[in-house]
Amino acid sequence: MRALKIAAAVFCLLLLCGCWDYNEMSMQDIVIGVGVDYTDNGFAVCIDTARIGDKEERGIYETEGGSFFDAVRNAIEKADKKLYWGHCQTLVIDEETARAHMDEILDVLTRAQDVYLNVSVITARGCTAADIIKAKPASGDTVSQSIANMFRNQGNSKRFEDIRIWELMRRESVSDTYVLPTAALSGEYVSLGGGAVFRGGKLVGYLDDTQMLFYILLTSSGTGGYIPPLETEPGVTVTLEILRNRVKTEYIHEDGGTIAVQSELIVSLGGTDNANAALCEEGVSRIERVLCGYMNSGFENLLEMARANQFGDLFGFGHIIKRADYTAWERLNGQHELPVHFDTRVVLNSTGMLKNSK
Amino acid sequence: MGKGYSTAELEKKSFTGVIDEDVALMRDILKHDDTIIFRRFENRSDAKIYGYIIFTEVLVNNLVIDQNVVRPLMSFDPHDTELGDGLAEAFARAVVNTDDVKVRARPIDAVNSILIGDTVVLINTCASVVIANSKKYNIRSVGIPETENAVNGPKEGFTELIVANIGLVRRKVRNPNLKFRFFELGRVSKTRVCLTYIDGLAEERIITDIIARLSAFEIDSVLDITYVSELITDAPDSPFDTLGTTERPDVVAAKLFEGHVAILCDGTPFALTAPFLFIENFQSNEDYYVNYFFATFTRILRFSSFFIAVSLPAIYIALISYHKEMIPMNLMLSIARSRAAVPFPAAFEMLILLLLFDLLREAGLRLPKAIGVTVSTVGAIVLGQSIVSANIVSAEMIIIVAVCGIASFLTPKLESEIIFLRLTFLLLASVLGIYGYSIGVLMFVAHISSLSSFGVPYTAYLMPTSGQGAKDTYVRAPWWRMKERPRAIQRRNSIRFRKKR
Repeated sequence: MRALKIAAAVFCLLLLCGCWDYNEMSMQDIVIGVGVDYTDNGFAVCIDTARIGDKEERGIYETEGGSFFDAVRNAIEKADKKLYWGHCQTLVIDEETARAHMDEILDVLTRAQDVYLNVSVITARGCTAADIIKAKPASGDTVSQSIANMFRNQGNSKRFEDIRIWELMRRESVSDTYVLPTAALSGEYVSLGGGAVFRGGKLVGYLDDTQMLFYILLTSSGTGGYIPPLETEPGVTVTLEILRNRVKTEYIHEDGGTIAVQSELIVSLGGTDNANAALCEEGVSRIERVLCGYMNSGFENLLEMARANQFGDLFGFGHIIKRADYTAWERLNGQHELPVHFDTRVVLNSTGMLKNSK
Repeated sequence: MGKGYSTAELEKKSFTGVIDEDVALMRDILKHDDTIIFRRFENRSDAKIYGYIIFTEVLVNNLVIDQNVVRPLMSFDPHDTELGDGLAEAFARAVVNTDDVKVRARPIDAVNSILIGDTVVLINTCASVVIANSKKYNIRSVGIPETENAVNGPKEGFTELIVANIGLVRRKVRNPNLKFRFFELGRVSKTRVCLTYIDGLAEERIITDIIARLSAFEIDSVLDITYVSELITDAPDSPFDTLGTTERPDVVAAKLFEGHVAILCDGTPFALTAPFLFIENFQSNEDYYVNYFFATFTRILRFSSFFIAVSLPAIYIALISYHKEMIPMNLMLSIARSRAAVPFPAAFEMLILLLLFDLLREAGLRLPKAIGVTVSTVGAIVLGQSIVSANIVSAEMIIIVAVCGIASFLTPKLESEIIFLRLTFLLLASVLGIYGYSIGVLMFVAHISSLSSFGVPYTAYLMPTSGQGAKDTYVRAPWWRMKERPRAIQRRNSIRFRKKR
């Protein structure tokens, strides 16, 4: 009787769940990346799959459909095996899709149960998404892997941000504006750089590499970056690396409300063409002073450009006001273009001076 | 061919004192056994004193019979001796020179003694017999235990002879409280089984329980201690043993000191220990002979290896068949590449390999050592290489099974349980993925939690609730920290470490 009860219990458990999602690995093509272009006929999707076994050719399937979902479904007609989306790493969208159809793409991807929200989203600039997907990979077997490698290998010293779908959705919930990295063709290869600014889910403009650096430093506390060669005095040029930045943004009630941005940078000296002039107490102070000025003017220029191009709340100031003073935020009625004061403090490490050795 | 005597019939028989009738009875009982020797003797001084000595040729020490039985019987001077029943007592007292002499009146006692190597003396006019100890032990010398190898510590293992095994244990516990109680099991085989414990340390309840269980069953023969184990265990339908097995006298002694009891069986180079807890499967005698840091490391290794041995195939199949998103990208690609040309479903492939591994292991065990090594080599290298080249299985699968196999060798006491659990988990995982594996683990935990060994919960100390309880479980604490004996086993005399230098 006891054995019968156990058998019945096991049988009931088997009924609760079956092998409905069972899939043999050898019967599947692993999707690594996908490119989405908007054409006159609707969406054109370029699906990049991993090279498995002895297959010489890259497994790229190109399909079209009236909607993004339709285009993806049409891949069934072309794919050798069932497509497995669980390891999709990269989503590349072209400028046209970015301008008008971003929401549709995200909606399909977030509803699909076999696509995970850690897919990196990239905007193609000056070419189609399919061109990016089909370009020659600089590393790995596919461009998608190559892009994933670039994101991973840049480490803390960031040139571009790796924005996954979940991060994109989080940023969208905080501010109506977010920035995605852009990819362009550089000969046969793909290069990443700058950023595409989205407002209300639509592409509204771009940031160049330098603007992207200031944007990253302002919005991502704890990151680093590379500062282009800086002339600190005539005949003395230094290259610097930001090891870590600490940003504190506050809403100040006084004077009708202002935003104060305090930024502390810990910087290391990468190199200089005049060590005698640079590596003395006075030289170091000068570097710190010049860098402070450079950073403040960079932040101010970025803010000015963003406001001039109506990029919206690029830095999330609205969210900061809302959290600090809800009444003031209501009174401002979404108006976040308050005066902003940037205050940057720089600490220069690794000068080689005994004074700084610990 | 006649019908033999049953035990009940033998018990009803008795000696008459008429030598010819008594000898005829013994001949009838022991007929068709040419190893039984009936030798007539006669006293040189008094021809009225004569009789027969009866013994089994292959079990006796002939020198003892010649010098201590036959010669005294033939040469003693019976000047005042009177014939009659008192003669057996007198012979036992003053004539037969062996270390152990008994006088018995029932033929069944005489027969049983003959069959274990004693010599029976039937005397004219006497309705009792003298039984003299003349056993000769053809024993295998005490050797290195084969199933419980240890680099450090004693190198002696039990042999097939129960008295030798008792001696090995006695030598380690020189205390009058060490008790040995004999039982005769097996209606036909009449195997000697010995219950041993330290009085004052072992719980009275457990001793009584074991004696009751040993006395309760009736079976024709007991050829090995596993017969006893299976007949007295708490959970005969479980794949888990609730009685420990060891072939090392030092392990038995250590268990006795902790309050366990042990059972030895004639003809078996193994002893049973009770109560037996699940955690004891992960303890090794060598843990106590090496540095306790290293012992702790190896013990944790054993727990990990048990997890790997039972779970790795199931988790691997669940991941690659149901939850691919949990596998890192590069590993996923590597697995996908190796499986691209394999025609079988992963679960089936794993099942084939596991069965193949068990087949090779079994073949290696049963064959003579030299051939066993060859079979293992051929199996591991040639077969493994070939089936991967032939795309019958993937290389990753071979690695998984090999790791599993190696891991299972770390807990040899759980060998059969591991095979059972591994296949069950694999089956569940191949049908239901991680969900199935989780069901399997829950069932396993529920099952072992329901077991007990002679009243002690089988899972005791798996989740220790006291500091002392935890000190010989997942870690092996130094001796000065293990002050108490395991309280789940016994509570009468729990302090074992009293003073540190």
